[in-house]
Amino acid sequence: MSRSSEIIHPSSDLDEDVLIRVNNVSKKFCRDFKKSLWYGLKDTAADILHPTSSSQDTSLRPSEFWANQNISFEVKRGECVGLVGKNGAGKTTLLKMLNGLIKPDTGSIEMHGRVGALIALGAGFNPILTGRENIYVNGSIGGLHKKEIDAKLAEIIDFAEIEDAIDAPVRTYSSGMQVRLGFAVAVILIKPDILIIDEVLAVGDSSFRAKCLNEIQVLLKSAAVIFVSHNENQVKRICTQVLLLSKGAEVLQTHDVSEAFKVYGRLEAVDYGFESGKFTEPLADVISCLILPKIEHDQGLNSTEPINISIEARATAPIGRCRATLFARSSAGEMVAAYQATVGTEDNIIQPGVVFNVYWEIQSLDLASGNYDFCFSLISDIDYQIIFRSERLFATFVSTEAFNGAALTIAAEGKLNTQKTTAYPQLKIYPTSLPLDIIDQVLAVSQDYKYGYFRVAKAANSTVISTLYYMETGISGLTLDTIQPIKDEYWLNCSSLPLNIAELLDSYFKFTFVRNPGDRLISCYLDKVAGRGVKKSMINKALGRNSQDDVSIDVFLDYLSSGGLKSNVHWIPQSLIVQETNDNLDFIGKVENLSDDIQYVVDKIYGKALDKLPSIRDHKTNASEFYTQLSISQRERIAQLYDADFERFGYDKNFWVTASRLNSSGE
Amino acid sequence: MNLPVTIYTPESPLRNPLKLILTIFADIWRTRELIGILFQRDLKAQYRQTFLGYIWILLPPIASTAAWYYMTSQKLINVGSTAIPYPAFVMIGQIIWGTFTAAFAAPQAGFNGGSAVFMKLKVPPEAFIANSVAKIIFDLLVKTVLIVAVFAIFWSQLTISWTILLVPFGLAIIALFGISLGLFMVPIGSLYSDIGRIVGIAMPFLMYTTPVIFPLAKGDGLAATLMSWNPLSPAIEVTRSWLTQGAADPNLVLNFLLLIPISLILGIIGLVILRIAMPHLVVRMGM
Repeated sequence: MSRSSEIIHPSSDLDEDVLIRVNNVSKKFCRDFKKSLWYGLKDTAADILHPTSSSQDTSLRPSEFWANQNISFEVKRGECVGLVGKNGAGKTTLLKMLNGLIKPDTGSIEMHGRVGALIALGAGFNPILTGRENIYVNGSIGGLHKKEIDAKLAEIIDFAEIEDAIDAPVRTYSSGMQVRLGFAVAVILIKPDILIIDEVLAVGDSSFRAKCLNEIQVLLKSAAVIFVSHNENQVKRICTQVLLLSKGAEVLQTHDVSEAFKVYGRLEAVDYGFESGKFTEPLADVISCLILPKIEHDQGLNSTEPINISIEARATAPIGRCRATLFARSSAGEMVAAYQATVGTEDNIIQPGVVFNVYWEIQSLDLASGNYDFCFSLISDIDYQIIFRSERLFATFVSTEAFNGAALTIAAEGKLNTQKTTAYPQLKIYPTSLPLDIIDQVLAVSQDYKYGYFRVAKAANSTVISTLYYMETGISGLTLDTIQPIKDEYWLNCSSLPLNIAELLDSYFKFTFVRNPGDRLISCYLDKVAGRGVKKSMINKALGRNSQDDVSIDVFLDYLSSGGLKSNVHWIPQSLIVQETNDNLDFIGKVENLSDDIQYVVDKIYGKALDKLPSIRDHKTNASEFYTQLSISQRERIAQLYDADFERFGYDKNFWVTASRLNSSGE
Repeated sequence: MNLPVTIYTPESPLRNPLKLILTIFADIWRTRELIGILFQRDLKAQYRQTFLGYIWILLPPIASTAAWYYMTSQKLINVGSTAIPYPAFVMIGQIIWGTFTAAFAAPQAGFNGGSAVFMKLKVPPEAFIANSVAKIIFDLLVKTVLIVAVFAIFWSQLTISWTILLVPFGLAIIALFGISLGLFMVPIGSLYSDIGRIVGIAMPFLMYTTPVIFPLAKGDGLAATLMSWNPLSPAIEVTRSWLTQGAADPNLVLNFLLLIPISLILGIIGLVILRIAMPHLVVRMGM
């Protein structure tokens, strides 16, 4: 391969499907503008005066840093790489090198075929010219002839949805219109083999974004795409892999998009001082956090109304004079607002062990509607360095108007499930009348969508969890093996939830799923008693039989009717469990109506139904078949045992009649 | 599938100079349609916000000629005798000089006009420069109106000979020379705006040492020495003679023609340097 800086020859590569090959590429930048100019002059001079000297220079001059360092990857036809990283991570630099605008300081880049690029807003448009004229200019830059552009003009105008404005100067266009036109030119007009899309799809309305993503997917059949976005959903939708950059270096290259965003989130957290990594010795423990007005059931905070937030914290190390800043962080992970307060102390230094207050009197949050979480930092009054940053204080939905949707509010810090609870600032917890054992057994809480899920025994938990998990992460096909880590990662696990959470629960959308009581009893019998037999000895013991004796359905029914009904979660009537939270449940779904009812729940908490539910598994026990072998009297016994359940959940006592959806007393 | 492959490495493109030069010219040829479109768009855009439109091309030489005519006719300054009536001398001198200054400024202007695009799209910078050059030709065509007017006013004192056919050739050499020098300025001028300021200050001095407003100085004085060493002196003198008097001084013509090889060599070197500097310039554009 020739080593000139830029050569073009027909591809002779065996691995023809690789369209982008980046090998160990680095790029230096200089922060100091004057020095940068001087270096630019020197580098140009060096290229002219010493053209044959190897310029793979890996040393940095004063004020220089690596904007990109040792980056290697390949993209094949049909692949889409999501380029993810914070601002300044080196994404745009990499894109500019891929596009040949600037040249690498080390390594090499191979680009096969025509490149279409949409780098930054209004890429290459002349503001004075009309949209139509700019199409011709950009098409021509892309190497197209006038006739080719003529042929596609109508399609571009149509796609960009700017018929009315096409003959107006581009400077009169909104940013959304510019992106639409830019995208249409880069994708539809150029029909590139390699498409490079910088973070431009953040602009524009969602329907157009969806259209763009569709278009990229179509293009992907014949092209390789590099896509920069902070938006996890967008990346998930079209990217086959993610390249995560941080401070110019490649942190992670993976096909697991969720994993990449998890790592990205963690990186960001470290940068913001969220993770303990940066502040090994926390300076304060938050004892309580009080928000007024209280975050009410079914309501988040109103963005336009005054809000008072006070924190009580205990210093664990001396804290000098500082001010406190409350940060609001959007669901996209960006700090979007900061609110100042002075730390309420007379002393110059807060000594360890001293409890102090921080009080924010906020006239209005002035946030756009959405989910936010809030944390606070202490910033030194002397050198303005951040000396402490808290974990999440609370998370809530913020609305610009009165909020009428499902309850989507959580007032808790994250990761309550971890063993490290004491390491996190504590939440002010409200008293509850709910018995702990019930909570322990039935509650799981989503972090992302803010709902409580009451896990009622034998209520298709895995199916429901896998659906909700899919909703939160986009990952389907959850197996029983993968449920546990999810409970740990994505759900606030019940076992470590503090006692006083009734008010907390009040603010969640709470639902459960129940199953036809007869079906449930039989399937429980087939599995736990006749099948694997895990409950056999318990039953035999209660009836004074030998522990390994076979338990027939009649013996089992005898046992239940003799008082064993309430002894185990697997056959305790669900009405008894649900009763504990009688007034709290927002929805009771039916396993028999699983698809529709899950969609209903998803719609309630997610705002819209999912296009496609993850595969919903059938129950392994063949209860229906078994039922047909039962006598009338056996069926009646089952119906009697679960009388209340049949009534409460509206099931037909003739069993296995698909009932219509039932809403609980709340509706 | 035989897709073209582009490879980017840190190496200097000057490793293979001949190939680089061929690539540059191939790129210019490849982007000829783009140049055409850019030219059209700039023509439209340039005076879009003006009332007088293209008349603005004519006004500067008219105003300048009027000023100098006023100063000399009122004896405020004395420029000595000219072979043709002084207003015609100044007007035609201005037009020729204007061609040079416009040509000199064209590469940087074209480059600046394209900088927003260079930051975002891969496009040969020469296309934008060529477009800027095309504008000079357009301006000249408009300015022929002035030349016709000069001939109409002073027809009895001017000679129309076959040499008038050489005038476009003369102007082309002057433009080529201007462009070559201008190309050299682009890399450094894009990094340091000092260059533009220096040029702005130096240009009038250069004009006064060129027979634009004053006739060619004679004798051993400083002015005469400067004018005789100024490569633009024969260019202006000869072209004006071809236009208004017929034959020109053969020595001056020879000197003038020497500009052709000089310009071509300088021009190609200028293009090569610009290409080499290009990625370094783009890095700084974003700052």
